[in-house]
Amino acid sequence: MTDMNVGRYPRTEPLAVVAAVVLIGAYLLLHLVVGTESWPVVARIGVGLMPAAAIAVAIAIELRIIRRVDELQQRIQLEALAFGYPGAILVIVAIRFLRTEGVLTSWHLGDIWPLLTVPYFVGLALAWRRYK
Amino acid sequence: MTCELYVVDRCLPEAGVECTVAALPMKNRLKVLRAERNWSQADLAKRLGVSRQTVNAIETEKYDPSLPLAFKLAELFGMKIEGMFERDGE
Repeated sequence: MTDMNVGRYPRTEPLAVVAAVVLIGAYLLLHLVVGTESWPVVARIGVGLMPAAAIAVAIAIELRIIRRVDELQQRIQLEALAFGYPGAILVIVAIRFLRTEGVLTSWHLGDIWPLLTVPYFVGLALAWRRYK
Repeated sequence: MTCELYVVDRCLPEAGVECTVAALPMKNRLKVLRAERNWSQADLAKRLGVSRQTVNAIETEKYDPSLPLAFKLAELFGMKIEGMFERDGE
């Protein structure tokens, strides 16, 4: 590990971030403004996968960051993920069964997926506090 | 029961119980050694190539460093690892 890597979090790869933002922006533009209903299936598949490609870029960035940070930061990330992944499953199961019971019937996972990231950030805060 | 360098939980070979080493917390002298050299946590972090938070967590014994980082610390202070770290209770 070199001195360039010193610091809590290194700078992210700017080009990859720009690529992810462009992909999301292009998807919103094509889907909401231009309209793709009349496009061939192959083209619609391409447009539909743009957000997934942006998320893949984000995963690649996250992996590069985690490989570069020091061992304590890696542990903090591990603890955050160890909390966040089962926490996301807990949220899914809770909403699923609440819907079965006739509560929160208007909540659809497709609409509330950002909620699934909350347990990760809670785990990150807990781990951060532990090693503060 | 102690067995040379290690604190042993239980050791009954005749009963088929292997010796197991108790997981005692680690203590270290990092804060003292750093202060002797008038280094700030940030100075030490830079020399080690880690974050200041990592140095602080090691000093406050909230985090035990990996073996490579422990060797790096020992090398930096010109000591052996066992001169810097010891198991609590020994």
